[in-house]
Amino acid sequence: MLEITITLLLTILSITMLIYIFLTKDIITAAIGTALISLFASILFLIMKAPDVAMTEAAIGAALSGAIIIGVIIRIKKEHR
Amino acid sequence: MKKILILMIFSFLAVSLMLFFMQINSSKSSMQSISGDYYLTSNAKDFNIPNVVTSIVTQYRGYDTIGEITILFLSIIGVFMLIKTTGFSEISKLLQEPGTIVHTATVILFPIIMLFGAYIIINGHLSPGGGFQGGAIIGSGMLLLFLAGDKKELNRTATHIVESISVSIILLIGLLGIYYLNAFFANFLYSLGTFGSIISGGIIPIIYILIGVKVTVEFFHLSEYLLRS
Amino acid sequence: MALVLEILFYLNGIILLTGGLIIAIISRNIIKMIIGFVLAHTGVNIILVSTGYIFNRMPPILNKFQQTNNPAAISVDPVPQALVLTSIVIGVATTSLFMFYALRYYRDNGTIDRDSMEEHND
Repeated sequence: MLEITITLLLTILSITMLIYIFLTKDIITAAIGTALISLFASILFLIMKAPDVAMTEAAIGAALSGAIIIGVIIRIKKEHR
Repeated sequence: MKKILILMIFSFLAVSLMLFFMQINSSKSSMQSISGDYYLTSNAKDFNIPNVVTSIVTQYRGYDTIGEITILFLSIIGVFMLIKTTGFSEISKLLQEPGTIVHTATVILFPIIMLFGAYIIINGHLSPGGGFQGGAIIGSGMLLLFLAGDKKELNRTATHIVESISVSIILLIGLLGIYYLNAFFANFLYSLGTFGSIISGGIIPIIYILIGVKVTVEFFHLSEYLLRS
Repeated sequence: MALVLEILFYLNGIILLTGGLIIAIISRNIIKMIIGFVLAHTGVNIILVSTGYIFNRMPPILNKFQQTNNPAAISVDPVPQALVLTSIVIGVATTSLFMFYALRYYRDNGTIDRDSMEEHND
């Protein structure tokens, strides 16, 4: 029962985040939303009894991928001025 | 109008995909796949380690992992070729000067991050974790050094040498498997150690540590290149 | 109970997949297109892992006793997990390549708008 509740909550959060990314004009907010969705996905992997995949998603999908996307965006914004 | 059409097409696609996957799942019920059944059953006598996912990644499907590090390497070569680098001294102009909080936090947190990454790499065959996860943790922890304003020049030759040596040793271990047991990546150190100790599983921890070194250097190059581009 | 959980997993994955693809097609900003592809990649990973999920089983990290006594009956399927482990690492490599292409595109054209490509060709 607890698993279903957490999964439902994560699904609702993911959908909210997805709609927010779809509507927002600011790219940095969209990148942070992507990292958040990766974090929700890593909790979902833990519920699916896949701890290896959960660790990989948290370390690589959320942290490193988000850092690269935000770094390039900041670089482009700096050169735009 | 066009947007609404695209949304409708995709929602139709989503519903049909959903039904398709649910049909697959209902026919599967509660059975393992054939290969999963084989790997789980023969893992104890083949490699003698607790983590079955590690033995699949490094041994049963070792070719996949070799291809994976090749793809990682190629994509980073592609990144290197795309953008012209500036000198290292330019970084200090682009980053703003770090405050006291960032500097102090880096001094305290950086060794702990390194230690945690090394722990995850070394325990890859006993608990969840391994070379890719630990390498990503160490590689992104090194980004913290740049953010804290470390102005030291990186010795790029050393990192390149470490990277090439680690991959060469992985391939050498694979070739030694041909020499001893007539198969690429055969586990010729099988009888080493007892179940559940650090030194067990033969060549699996060695391969995972080398993959960890390789992935660390790759991600470190990537995050350094992000600042230098 | 088990069916509800599996449907929720599929729902999560497929919503992320289609939502990411919609963002990738509709948006005009190149970086937002890349973000859409990253989201779609996460959705595909969730679908793949959920095909190996079996209700009320253990993760595939087993001790000696469990591994010698019919481990296929107490553990979830480990093969999709190993494949997705590979897929995530490749995903970050392709994401970085995408992002640096966007940076290169900006430096050549002075914009990150997708539609500016057509004006340049005229």
